[in-house]
Amino acid sequence: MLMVGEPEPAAANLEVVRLVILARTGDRAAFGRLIEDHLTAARRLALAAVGQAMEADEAVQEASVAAWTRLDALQDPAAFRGWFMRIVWRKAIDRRRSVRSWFERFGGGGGDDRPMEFAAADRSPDAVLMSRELAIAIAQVVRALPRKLRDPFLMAASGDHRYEEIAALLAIPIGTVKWRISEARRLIRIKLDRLGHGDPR
Amino acid sequence: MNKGDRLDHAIDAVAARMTAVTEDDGLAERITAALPERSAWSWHWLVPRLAITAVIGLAAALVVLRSFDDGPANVLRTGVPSSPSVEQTAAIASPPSEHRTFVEPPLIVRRTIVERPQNDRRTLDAPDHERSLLALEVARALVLDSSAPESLPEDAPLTLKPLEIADLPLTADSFSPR
Repeated sequence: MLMVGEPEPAAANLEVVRLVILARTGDRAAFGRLIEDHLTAARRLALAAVGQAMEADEAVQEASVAAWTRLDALQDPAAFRGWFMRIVWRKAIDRRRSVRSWFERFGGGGGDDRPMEFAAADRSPDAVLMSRELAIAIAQVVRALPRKLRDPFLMAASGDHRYEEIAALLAIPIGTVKWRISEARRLIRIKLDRLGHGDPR
Repeated sequence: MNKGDRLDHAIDAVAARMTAVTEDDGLAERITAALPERSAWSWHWLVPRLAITAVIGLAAALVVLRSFDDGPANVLRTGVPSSPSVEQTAAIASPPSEHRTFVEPPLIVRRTIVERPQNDRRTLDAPDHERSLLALEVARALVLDSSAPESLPEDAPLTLKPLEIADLPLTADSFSPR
């Protein structure tokens, strides 16, 4: 089943507060340590929005510069992670809109037709057992989901965000997050059945 | 594992792979190297506060200006003249000396006279449309000397010879029996 992130211990929060205070004085090394702990989660979050690794990394860089500039606007230094992730998500959404509009202008065929990329081949036994056709079919069906269902579904699938964080990022209630993830899974099953992939072996 | 669980597992696995990223150890260093210089204060902190201050100041100014605004004048003006014209008054005061003409008194707009209460604080200087005091003044301007009988010509149509009672034969024969 889906894995969710573990809550940070109190000592780690004190370290975050200390680094934020140092970064506000212009200490770039302190800011680098701040974002380094969250870069992987930030890149996955951006990848869930834009679908391409290069676009996701650029969105994360833009978000980092914005966070560095707006550090004074962070009222609670201990909440740096959630604040930084919101900036990353907004930058990724802006980039998704701009790329989507480019595709629509130059005959992209409408909709979200950008190719979804896969990471390096997973050599786990499950991956070997699962046929390549099924994996491609699942990826295509997930990509074809409506954005409001796909975004929370992929956020949860990344394993970096709890339901509360997803709700805060999308500005929706937690109940809505759970419903949309459940609804996304139900639609994926329906479409896989129609494609003949209802029973993987 | 039943069919549904296997499918769910496959869906989760593919979704996790769709959001997986390769390790990039130098990304944090590249990001920090490209950071701009931080200033002691930032526009992102100052602009919202300036905007809020401007809005509050504008609202306060509007409230103060409205409190000093005078209401519209509620004085109603009527077209009824409170007194006859000056020319009319002068014509009445000095009629032509060659002949006597019957002069009609000026029309008084208000024919009812209302008793003024004793505690009425209104001044007489302001035009009082209810009592028409000025009309009385017009009547005073009427000069009666020019209409005295001795000054009238003998051939005036309205001249009457003064009646003397002593000239009347007041005897019993002068009365008819009825």
